[in-house]
Amino acid sequence: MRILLVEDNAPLRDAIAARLRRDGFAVDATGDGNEGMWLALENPYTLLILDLTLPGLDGLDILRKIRAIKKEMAVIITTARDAVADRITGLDAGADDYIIKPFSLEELMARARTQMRRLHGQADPVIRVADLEVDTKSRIARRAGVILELTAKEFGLLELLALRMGQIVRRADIWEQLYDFAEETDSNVIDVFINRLRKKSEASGGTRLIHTRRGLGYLLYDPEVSR
Amino acid sequence: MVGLRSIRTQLLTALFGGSIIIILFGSGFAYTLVKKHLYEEVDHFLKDKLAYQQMAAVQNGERISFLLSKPVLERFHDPADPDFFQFRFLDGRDIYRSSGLVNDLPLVGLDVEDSFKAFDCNLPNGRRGRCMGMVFAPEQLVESDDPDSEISESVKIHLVVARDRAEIDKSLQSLRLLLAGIGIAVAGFSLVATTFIVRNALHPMEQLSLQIESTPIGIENNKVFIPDAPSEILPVIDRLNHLLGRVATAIDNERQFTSNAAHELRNPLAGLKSQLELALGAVRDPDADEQTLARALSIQEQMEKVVGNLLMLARLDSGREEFDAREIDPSKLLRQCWKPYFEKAAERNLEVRWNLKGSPESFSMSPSLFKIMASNLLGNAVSYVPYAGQIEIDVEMEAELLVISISNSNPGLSERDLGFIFKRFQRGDASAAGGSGHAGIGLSLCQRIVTTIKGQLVAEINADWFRIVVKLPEVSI
Repeated sequence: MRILLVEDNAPLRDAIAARLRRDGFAVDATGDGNEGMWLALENPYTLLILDLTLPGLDGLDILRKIRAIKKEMAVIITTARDAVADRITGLDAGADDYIIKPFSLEELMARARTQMRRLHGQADPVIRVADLEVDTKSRIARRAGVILELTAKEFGLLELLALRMGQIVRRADIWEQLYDFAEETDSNVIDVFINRLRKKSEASGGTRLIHTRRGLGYLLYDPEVSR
Repeated sequence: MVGLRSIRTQLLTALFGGSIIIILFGSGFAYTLVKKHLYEEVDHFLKDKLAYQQMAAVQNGERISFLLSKPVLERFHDPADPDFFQFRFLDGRDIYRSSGLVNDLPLVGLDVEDSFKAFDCNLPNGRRGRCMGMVFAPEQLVESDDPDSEISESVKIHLVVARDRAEIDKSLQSLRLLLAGIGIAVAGFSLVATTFIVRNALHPMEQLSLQIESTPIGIENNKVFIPDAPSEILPVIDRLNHLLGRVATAIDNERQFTSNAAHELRNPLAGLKSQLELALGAVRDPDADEQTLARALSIQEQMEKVVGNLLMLARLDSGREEFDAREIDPSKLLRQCWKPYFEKAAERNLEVRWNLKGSPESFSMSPSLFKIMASNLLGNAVSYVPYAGQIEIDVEMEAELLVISISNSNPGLSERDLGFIFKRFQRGDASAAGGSGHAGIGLSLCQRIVTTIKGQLVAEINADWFRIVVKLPEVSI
């Protein structure tokens, strides 16, 4: 899942970005409003974490422009402005959530996960495919009740496939959602991750859940149910 | 005492008390007037009676005779007659008296001064009366036609007449009752009328009081309005509305200031909290921990500066703060203030030019205020100037004023930005700040300091430069 973070307070920006990356999200972070606006319009982010008081371009202006072109992206506003009127303005401008500074990183993470699930039509934090359980809250995956030892990136990939369960996810989309601009990747890195995921999820037996559609991409589904 | 503090009670007491006093005086005056008149009438009657009684007495030799008509004589013998008389010789021997008169009448009018003078007295019938007396010599009655006949020696007679006062007393009693009745009625009416008048007169005050009570303080355009307010309280209402307006503005400014201050502190707090949370949630790594601590310290310093500036602003705004003044070396102090920004200027690849040749060696000034002002101006210049930009610091004397000019490459400000760069918590185009930790009160604080010491601070902008010029007068030590 790829997230854009626009926050001018450098220590805060660094901390949020680091926390998000620890959970396997791809994060692009900037402290400038204009750059944030450009990134948001040019890239397919799942979530935008947006500060309101920004150098260059105000956060609300960025939000209005994004919503004007109806870009599908969850937006969480982070701001020190705690007046009810400010919250209403932010939510009316198109924000999905509003969090007041100083906030707990864990609260921000919870809200971010909620928004990303909501965007994919998933209300339950635990996504189930056959005997596979992907717990987006605790960032743990289980197969037949056994915890899978996944890296943050591997979990991120599994979460992406689970959130789009039954849909083909293109390799380019996976690459976009898993890697930010700061990371250098090989062209076959997605295939490597898919293979690792398959091995780990099928280590204790069970049907294959991650399927390949040659030339199109990958999808997660339970063939037993489809039959 | 508490009750008397009420204007209503005071007015009611004064007006009603005044009415009662007027009623009492009026009644007393009327009563006295009528009584005097009635007594005068009686006295007049007694005087007349003395006169004609005197005329009725004649001396015939040794005898005293009275020439009275029959009706008069009958009246003298009427026991119900309220009038009495008594003729006596000066030695007290009785000559003639009213038939109803058992005891003697008082011995009044014996002296010349007391003649025809009326006195209150007790009558023989036990009632109160008025009496009047005189001493006279009756006319001699000569019965012989002989002109040589001998005339007897003249005898002096003491005559006292009296009249029962019962009728007058009865009239006066009726008058007293009447006046008391009228007084009570007038007092009652006066109380009702006074209450009504006072209530009506104080109604606008009550309205004013209710409006003041129900008017929320601190909301702009909330004004007290009393329809048809009397002219006496119009200035009060005007003044009150003026004060309400000022209070609303002050509260709004205070609210805005507090909100802005909270906002500016929340940002570094959020950074600090997130950094610590992140560090606590991560695997222990000495290098990462050191980095977190260094960041935390940096954020703390930033917050300390914001809080310090806020406190200084509050102290200056209060107008009660006194600052010490002594001789300072402006160029030396400026250099000291630059020290914390030296590294940052190098990091940002800034070109810094100093022109301190015109700086006086000694200038009378508050060093603490000078340091705060210089530190903020230099800090702003370093933070807002574009990367690899230029900063120029000039100091010179202009007449009696110390002129400090700090110029930096224009970070993108335009003339319109001049309107709000001195406003608290405003940062022109914030892109220049770029999360530099500036709360937007530095220039405002500098302006407040300069105003406090009666100097000048102006900002100038052109396409290439943003310049702050400060002109400071010497402060008396």
